[in-house]
Amino acid sequence: MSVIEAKNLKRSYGKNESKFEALKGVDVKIEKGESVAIVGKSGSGKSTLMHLLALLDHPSSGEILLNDQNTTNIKTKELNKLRNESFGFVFQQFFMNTKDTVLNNVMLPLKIAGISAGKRKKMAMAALKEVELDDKASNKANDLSGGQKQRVCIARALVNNPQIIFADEPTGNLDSKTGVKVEQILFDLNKKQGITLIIVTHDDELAARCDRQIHIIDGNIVKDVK
Amino acid sequence: MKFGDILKSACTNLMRNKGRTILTIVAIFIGSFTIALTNGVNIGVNDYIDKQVSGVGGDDMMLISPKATVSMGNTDEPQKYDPEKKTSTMSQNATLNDKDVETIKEMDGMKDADSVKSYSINYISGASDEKYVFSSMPILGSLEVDLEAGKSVNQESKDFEINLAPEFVKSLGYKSAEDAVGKTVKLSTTASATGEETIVEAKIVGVRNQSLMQGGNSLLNQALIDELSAIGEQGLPESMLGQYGMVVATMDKATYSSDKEIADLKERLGEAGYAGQTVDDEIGMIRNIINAITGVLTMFGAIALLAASFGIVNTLFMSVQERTREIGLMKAMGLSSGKVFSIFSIEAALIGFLGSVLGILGAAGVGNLVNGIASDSFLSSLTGFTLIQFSWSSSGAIILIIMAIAFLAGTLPARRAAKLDPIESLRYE
Ligand SMILES: Nc1ncnc2c1ncn2[C@@H]1O[C@H](COP(=O)(O)OP(=O)(O)OP(=O)(O)O)[C@@H](O)[C@H]1O
Ligand SMILES: [Mg+2]
Repeated sequence: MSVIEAKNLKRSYGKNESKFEALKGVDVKIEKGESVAIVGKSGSGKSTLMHLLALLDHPSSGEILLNDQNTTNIKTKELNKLRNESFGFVFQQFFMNTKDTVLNNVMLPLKIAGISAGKRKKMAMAALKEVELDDKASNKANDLSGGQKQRVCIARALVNNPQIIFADEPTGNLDSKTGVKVEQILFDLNKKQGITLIIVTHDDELAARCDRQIHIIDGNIVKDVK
Repeated sequence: MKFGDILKSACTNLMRNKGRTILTIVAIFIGSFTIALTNGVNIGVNDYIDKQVSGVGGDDMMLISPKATVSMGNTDEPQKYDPEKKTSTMSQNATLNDKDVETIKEMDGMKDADSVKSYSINYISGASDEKYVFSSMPILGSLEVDLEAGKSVNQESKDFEINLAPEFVKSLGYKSAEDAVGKTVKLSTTASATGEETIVEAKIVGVRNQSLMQGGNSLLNQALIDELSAIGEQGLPESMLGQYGMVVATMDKATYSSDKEIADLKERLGEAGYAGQTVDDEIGMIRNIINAITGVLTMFGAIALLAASFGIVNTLFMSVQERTREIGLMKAMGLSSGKVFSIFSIEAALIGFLGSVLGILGAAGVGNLVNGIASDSFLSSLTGFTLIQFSWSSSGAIILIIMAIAFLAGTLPARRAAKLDPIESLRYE
């Protein structure tokens, strides 16, 4: 069963003369538990595709099926709930509240979900244990190293037990050694918990570790290697 | 996201940039302080005036005198004399008689009418035997006497009783108000026909509180007035008896209560040749002035609040700017636009709440201080006058109104935050 599927996905920006097609009709089907790398040159449309798959953006045409269900006509409220419960996000620039504690940062998706404070803390501590940072729970997020920060972000992404984790250049800001450790955590989650991984990356080594590589050039998928 | 969490995150955001938050709150504080203080003065003064009104006579009382008619009237021709109408000119002292009392009593909207007997008192003397000029008046309408000591005079009693004005206590030779109660004083009155002087003894049953409207006036009971009036009329020919300068009427408040109905009643009195005046007419002027002054001050407070709400808009716009990433991230994680809006508008309402509560507390503090100083100095002669008073209801109303203003100001930046596109806000520069 495919966890997510895109059919003839197009996305264009601007109007008339300045109209620009970032995605020119993409078909892709991702199975549950797969780890997929989206690779391609800068400006090729990798992030655009990821945002569409993560339901953060609406395609100009084409449709996205989540667990075989069409998402085109889902109401905003449902969409928010879906993203909150099914997806986890990891970004290149971490995006965390640096003045807040590690624990509070990890609890954020649960807070949004409206889960009670007690349960929230338990789940967040479990997620921090997963990335081996449970001892830093009460530290200020700002006091952590880059690699540790990204691990906190992974904990935040997996705290709600998502089906899919979307990662846009997760190791882009890290040196190769710490990058490898972060990658290891992601692949462990993929293997042990069956979480589907969709990783946008420039890094060929990281791409090679994934089950599957989708190559994009100028808004078209040119190669899909398993 | 639960409401408690929204509230908490709004608080956390306020604490994040303390300096900016405090400055915004100070702006609200100034407006709230001004309004709370002027409102306190308004309540204090109006409360005192109300007390005074009930001290002069009930609010259902109307004082009626003959209408003073200018001889030219409204037309250019001299007005014809009508023996039935009380068409006296200013130079003549018009009087009313028992027939007038009946007429007034019968009028629509009147419950009762009583003549005010005239009497004269030459002097009063007490323990010190010193003689003093003495002004006094009968108890009119349903009067509540504001007393410093003793009790109110008994209208039913046959004994001669006085509620003494506080100014007289020391001069008459008593140590204190309490000391004066129960003592007997001498009142001197003269028969107008014969010029013969008579001394009447009366008992002080109570001492009045200082009064703004009736400073120095003592109150006499009916028995004493009847006696003084009888002595005054001794030897007068029959035709000059039973003449009154004024009639006290009691309005039927059950059916005549609105300003319009009272105005209508006065108009009908005017047509019948009388002039009616309520207690509120006499004091209304002071009330209007006070309301005008406090109204202007409240306006200043409102202007301060308007300026402060721009402060809120500015503060929150800066906050939205700084937190663009965070908002984008939370929206990506499924936080609805409505909740983002709530976080920011509640933040604004919180600023309003803190500013208004602090402003009211500040005003209450300053009010207490001023009240303390005032009652020891320039208001010391006006007992029962608390210059600045606060009420829970008006303080609550001020807080709610300011919170509403702050909330409205907050909706602008909150809308901007709610409309942020997560992809746009998460784009790395
Ligand atoms: N909001 C937008 N308005 C106009 N053009 C856009 C917008 N977002 C993206 N684009 C364009 O779409 C194309 C694809 O952008 P995208 O961000 O997907 O590239 P990318 O493959 O992720 O590149 P990078 O590796 O540099 O992150 C680019 O040419 C970009 O300029
Ligand atoms: Mg990109």
